[in-house]
Amino acid sequence: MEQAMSLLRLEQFSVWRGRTQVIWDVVLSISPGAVFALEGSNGVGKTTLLEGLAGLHTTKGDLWLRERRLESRGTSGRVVEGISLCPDGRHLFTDMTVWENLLLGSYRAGFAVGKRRAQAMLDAVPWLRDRIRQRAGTLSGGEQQLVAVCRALMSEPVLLLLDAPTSGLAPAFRIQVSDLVRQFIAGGERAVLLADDDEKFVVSIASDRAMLSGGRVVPRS
Amino acid sequence: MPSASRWFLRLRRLWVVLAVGLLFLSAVLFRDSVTLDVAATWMLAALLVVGWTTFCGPAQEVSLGHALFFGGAGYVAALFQLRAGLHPIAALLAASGCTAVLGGLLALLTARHRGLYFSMVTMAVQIAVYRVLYLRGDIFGGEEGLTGIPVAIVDRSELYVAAGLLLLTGSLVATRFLRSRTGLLLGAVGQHETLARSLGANLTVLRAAGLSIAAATAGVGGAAWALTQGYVSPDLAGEELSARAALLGCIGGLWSIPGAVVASLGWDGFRFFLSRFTDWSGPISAGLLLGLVARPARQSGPSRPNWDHLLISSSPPSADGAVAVDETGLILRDVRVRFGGLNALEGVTFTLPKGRAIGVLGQNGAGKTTLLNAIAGLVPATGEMHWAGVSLTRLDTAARARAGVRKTFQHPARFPDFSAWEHLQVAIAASSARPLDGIALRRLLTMCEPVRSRPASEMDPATLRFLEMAMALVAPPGLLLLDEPYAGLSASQAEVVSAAIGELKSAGLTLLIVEHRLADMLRSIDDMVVIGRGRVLRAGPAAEVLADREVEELYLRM
Amino acid sequence: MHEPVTRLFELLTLCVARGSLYALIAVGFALVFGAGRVLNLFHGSFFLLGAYGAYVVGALGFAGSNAGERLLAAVLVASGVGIFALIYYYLVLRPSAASWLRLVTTGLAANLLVAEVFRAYYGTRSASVQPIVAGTVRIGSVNVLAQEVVVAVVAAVLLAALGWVLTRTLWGAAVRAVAQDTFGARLMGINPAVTLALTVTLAGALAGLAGALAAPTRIVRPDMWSFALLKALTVVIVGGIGSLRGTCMAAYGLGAIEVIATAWLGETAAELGGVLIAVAALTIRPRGVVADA
Repeated sequence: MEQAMSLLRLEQFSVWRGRTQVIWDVVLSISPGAVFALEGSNGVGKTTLLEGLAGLHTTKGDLWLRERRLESRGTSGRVVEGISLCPDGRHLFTDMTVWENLLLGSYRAGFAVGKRRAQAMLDAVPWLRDRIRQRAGTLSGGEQQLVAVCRALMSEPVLLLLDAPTSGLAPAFRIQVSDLVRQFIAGGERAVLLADDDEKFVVSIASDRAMLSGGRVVPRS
Repeated sequence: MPSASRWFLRLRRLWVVLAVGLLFLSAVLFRDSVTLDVAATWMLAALLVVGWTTFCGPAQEVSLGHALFFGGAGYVAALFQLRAGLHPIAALLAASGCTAVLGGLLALLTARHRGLYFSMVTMAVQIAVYRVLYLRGDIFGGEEGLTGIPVAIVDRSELYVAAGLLLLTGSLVATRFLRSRTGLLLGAVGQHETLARSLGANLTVLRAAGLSIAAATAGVGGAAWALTQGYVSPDLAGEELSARAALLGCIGGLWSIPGAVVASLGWDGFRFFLSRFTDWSGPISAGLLLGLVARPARQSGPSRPNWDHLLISSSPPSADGAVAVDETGLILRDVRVRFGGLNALEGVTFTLPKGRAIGVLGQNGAGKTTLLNAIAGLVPATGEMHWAGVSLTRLDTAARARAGVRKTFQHPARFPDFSAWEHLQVAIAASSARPLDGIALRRLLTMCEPVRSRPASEMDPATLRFLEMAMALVAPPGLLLLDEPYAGLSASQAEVVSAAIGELKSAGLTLLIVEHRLADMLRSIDDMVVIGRGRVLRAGPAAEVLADREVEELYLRM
Repeated sequence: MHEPVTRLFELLTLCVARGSLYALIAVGFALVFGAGRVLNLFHGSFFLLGAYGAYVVGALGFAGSNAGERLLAAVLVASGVGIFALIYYYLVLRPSAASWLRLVTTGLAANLLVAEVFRAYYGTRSASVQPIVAGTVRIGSVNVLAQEVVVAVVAAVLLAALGWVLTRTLWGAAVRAVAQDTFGARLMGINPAVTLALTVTLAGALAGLAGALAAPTRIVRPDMWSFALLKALTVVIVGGIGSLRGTCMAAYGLGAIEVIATAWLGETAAELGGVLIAVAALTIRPRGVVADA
């Protein structure tokens, strides 16, 4: 049987938060075009796993992106390779405008490339146009979440990591986040790894689901 | 009391005797008056560092302006002598009294400043004092300072011995302070202010006491300097002297008075010794300071005093002000809490009779912890809150704790450097209640036994929970607010906590318990109240409330 | 007897010059603190090194014979201080950054060390430095020390340039991003450590330039570090941490208040006033800035 190329493959992947080991020898495979939902109770380590993938923590084990093993360790390396994290709590630069936030999303690509990508983003998400000059801190929670997702997309990742994107969001914004995600995976080349507690949202958008429990990943139907 | 500390205490008296003996011996041996004179100045300067350590050690602050007390006292003593013709000893006492008052004032000024802000205010005040001393030449003699002060002790060996005795006395006073209840509580405040406040520690008084003693100690040194060296200059209240005091205090160890003395004498001696050989003694010794503070390895556990003697003190300190006088229990009427634009609690009203236990149920974010925080005074709230007839609304957290209302923390709070034993001592020192020395306490202490003398920063969450319950048992409040006491515990661990709560109940405490683990909570409570979106949805006996269909639905969704 | 208008002009120029000086000192300090939550108490010594650097350059005869050359010399001194700041960052600041206590104590100790070195080398005699533009300049009908004008102009140019870089370039945006949300900045692939290193260099250069420019009009002494440090701290606290515009406004405000107070109430009162402002600002805005270790 032909082995389909996986977008992300984790083998014996462990993550430490400080000196505590939180994730133990995780084995995971995400195929291209998938929206993989990771579930589990509060504090079990979903955020740590995502942050570990993004390069923020000490990790051990193999990370294969598009069948190429990633050697880079830090966040900037991962961003360049094509892994981008939209974190829990958004972490937007609240004193800077939406435009500046977007540009910073493609920091590693440089100013010129960044401007071009930002323009493309405005075309893809017209909603942004009216708010481009607004300071990010003045947006509502839902608007900030949308900007955060767009910012994460600015580095043109192949794997988008979404941590609790719908927490505290009104239904209208959840739909917009879903649309953005669907737009992203259209074309079947990229994938999304999602960590969210919202059952309804997960059901509406996920193609694969798994539980994170006791630091290990257990697949679900 | 463990035998080791008894030995140490015994030896402690011996060390004082040894020190005095050494002092007299060296005075006889080194008859060279220049060396004795210089050494005397070292000992007076060491009082500055001792003073610094007395406050900044326990409180974990860095005062960048302590020399203002040193130089300031020198000027005061000089002025008393020159202008008022006071006897030297009277001038000394008057100067240290003035500096003690100044220290208290500084504590009031910095009442809300911590960390960086505290350091900056002390630095700013010191610079202000320095500038005034410098610029008002008419009063203070300007850059030259005040000279021509009649020297109190002419013979240099007498001066040496006198300075040594002053240093010894100052050190003993400082050590006594650190070993006292005030010192212990100040240390608690320095490590975790909120926890200390929630146990009843009065921050303002503690800091004022500490800073006064610290100032007076430094002041004695400065006044003695002026009276024995015959001069005082603005540099004695300057930034460099202050910085050096802070650095030497840190090097000597934050709780250690002997360390402060050794560091100060050692450094001064080193510099003097070097200056015999090279003109670069200044930079070299400053470089040594830099090297010492830049060491990556932190000192392993500062040598804290032994507070065991507090446990056997006869009369517990009396609580101030509002003490529970009647049996009415907890009354809440229309309690509201607003955070920004969000109404976290809206019109919560219920009554909890004394001696009963009530469980608080509700979804995440419903307002349960906010309710506890409001009763404990940790968040501002409107509405009426009464405990045992005492109105809580005007009292801050520490005052409420002294009135009998205490709260535990969702994520166990601890004093990172203190051992389990010291935690209990803090709880007892801050409260006026008699300990519930029963089976539950023994069991809790047994559970904490493996880590009894290790710092709390190394304890796992379960042990911290046990410690929290033990602290409640040794210093039982009237109303105890428990915030998720069973979180993260295994079944056997939960059983121990359950027994402790049971004992608290049978001792007559009133309990308010927030918990998600229903089975565990049901073992301890009589009544239940359900909170949803900041309001009371249901209240009544536990069985009734749970049988309610709406509550069942609500709970199934949690 | 001066006319009131002339006096006003004089005061105005002095205010601007003093404010510019404080701005140059404080801006770098604010940036470093914003970029890494690092409190660099050694910042005062950058100012000191700039002042002594100007003196050394003059004493060695490299100062040049006209205003342009002397200005260039000052800029070179500033660059030297900047490079020294970078070395200091890697040797002392970065290893200490984890613990607030170590940060404060190493900064203090380093200040003392530098002060002692200069004291040992130059003794207690104060150093005097040639001004960049000697004599006075007539502005309108007012005689003003030309040096003060130079300070004002140079500072204005530099601050404007810095403002432009921070708001219009990607690197400037990165610096601001790190200051606002370090975690978020890391996610963008920005390396906060590198940003901090560059910011410290810049801070050193600016404070060094301030020292070199201020040296001709002041007595250069080994204990100047505490003066510069207290000004920097005051300005940053009053102006608000993280706001560059606030820092500049606070700097000019503080300078103006000091100059006017000196003119009206005398030096003692002005010194006291400056410090009281610091204490008042700290009391009114005691936000928890530094997380305890």
